[in-house]
Amino acid sequence: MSVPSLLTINKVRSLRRLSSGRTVFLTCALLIPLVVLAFILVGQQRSYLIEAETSVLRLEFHGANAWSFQQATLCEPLKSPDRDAVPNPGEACSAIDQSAGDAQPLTMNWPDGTPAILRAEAGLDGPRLRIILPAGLGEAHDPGTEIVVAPDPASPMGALLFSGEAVLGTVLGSGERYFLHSATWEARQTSAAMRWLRSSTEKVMTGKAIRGAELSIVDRYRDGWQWRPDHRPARVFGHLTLSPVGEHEPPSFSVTLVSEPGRTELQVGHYGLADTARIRPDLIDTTATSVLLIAAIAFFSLASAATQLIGDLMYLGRGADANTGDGRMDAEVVHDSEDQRPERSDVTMPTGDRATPAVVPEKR
Amino acid sequence: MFPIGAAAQSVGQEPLNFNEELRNQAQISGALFAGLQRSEGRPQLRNTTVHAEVPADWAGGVACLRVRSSNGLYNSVAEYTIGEGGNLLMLDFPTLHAEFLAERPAGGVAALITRGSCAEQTNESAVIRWSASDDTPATLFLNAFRADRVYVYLGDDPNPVECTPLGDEGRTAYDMRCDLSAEATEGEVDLVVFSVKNGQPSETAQLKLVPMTVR
Repeated sequence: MSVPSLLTINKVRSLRRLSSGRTVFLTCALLIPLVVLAFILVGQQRSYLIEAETSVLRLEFHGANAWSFQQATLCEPLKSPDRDAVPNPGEACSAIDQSAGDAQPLTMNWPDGTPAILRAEAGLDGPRLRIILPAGLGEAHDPGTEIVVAPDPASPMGALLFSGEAVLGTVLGSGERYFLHSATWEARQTSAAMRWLRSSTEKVMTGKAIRGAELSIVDRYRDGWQWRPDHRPARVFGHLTLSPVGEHEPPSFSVTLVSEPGRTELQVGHYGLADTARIRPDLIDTTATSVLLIAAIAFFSLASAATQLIGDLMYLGRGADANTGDGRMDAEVVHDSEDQRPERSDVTMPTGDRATPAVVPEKR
Repeated sequence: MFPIGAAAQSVGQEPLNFNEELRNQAQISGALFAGLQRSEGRPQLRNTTVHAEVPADWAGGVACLRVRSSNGLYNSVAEYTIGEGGNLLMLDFPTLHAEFLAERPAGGVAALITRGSCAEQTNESAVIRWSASDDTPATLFLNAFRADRVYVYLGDDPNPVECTPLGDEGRTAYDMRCDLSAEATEGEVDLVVFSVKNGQPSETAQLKLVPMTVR
């Protein structure tokens, strides 16, 4: 075998090694983002975070919930309304169908499962909180009992913390006085595998709720291995504070809540909708906002470019070494694959001292 | 006592006119009285008939049947000639939206039949029976325009029935239900609605309930 032929074979082998290395790299570059995607999607759990300004909030307490008020008035329903009574406007309890207790310090330990409707309303001396207990409270308080808290401006009520089920606002009807004024929300997500890599969740979707909407967070749940088609209210943790009355805004309270992680969705009701709408991030939202996926893609793009550059530099270096004495480069070095390389048997063999050891056949 | 679903096999009284609409968007009802009916569970419209406990002295006249869904999407108005009163009258209800109505939750559809034509809008009403038997207590559905509390006085009885707000059924067309006792509908009685809003009393409204066995 002639020396030029051996040289060509060695070059082809070298090119094949590089080509197979790039194939492996490209396969990895395609597969690893898919693996990352699976990491993101498998065992996905989602929480919603809502910040709202509303004048009505419906709660069902779960877990330990205790509220303490410096001054609160209990309004107990009368057995029969007094249709001749003349109520005074702005009084905590209506003289028509409620008996008013004295304003006094009150501490409430809400039993598990107690429903309550919270309203922000205008009182005589500023905004006040009305807590309606539709199911009453034990044997001591009948269904329909109300607690009215009118905080002294010099002694604010402070934040009230709650855990349980919550519905912000209500679907409007004519005459509605208590409704959602505004809200912003965001969905944060993580997955089983992601929790190993990062302790924080990723924000995948955000939005605003329009005035008069009804917001709640619901959870899909399994029945054995099957996901049930219906939803149940998700457990949330939150707090509320009475807001100062604005010039053009009715009384309201600021509510912040975050839901327990799960297969949660944001449920939105509004007047005119045939059914409630449910909002959850889809695959596009998830992939477009995944920091891990973006990082993986960026890493492989950089790695790919670097490999290309290094490969080209190596071949350029070899080509320079293999350059002929008259300054002519060996044409083969610029081709990446064997297929692209023109068939040549008359390869110019560099002679003299500048021949690179890599392309020079072994001396026998 | 017999369940209506099993009895409704024969052809009922055909309506003189029947207009219904199922909207994509809700329509708010302005009427205070939305329904007076005995109903259990979802409204089953077998053979698309409803039953009315028509009193004897309605015979020979006309009656107006209004059916609406609480979410404000469905509304229908129909007039019937009352051939013979004093019994349970089967009324044809040729709706094209029986499936929609059947999917509504209990209390999600209200029906009210009043004496006279629909243009007259009298306040004399009989009880509609809807997937229920004759010993099922009657329920009054009201649009109280988000009153805080609503009471219904039965005649001279000083102890009213307290109404409860609707919940998941939707509260667009009507927002309160008042469960009347079985005795309340045994004789002719005036139902007087009294509500409290912002701690203040609101105007009262009145509906005369006429059972089919009276007179």
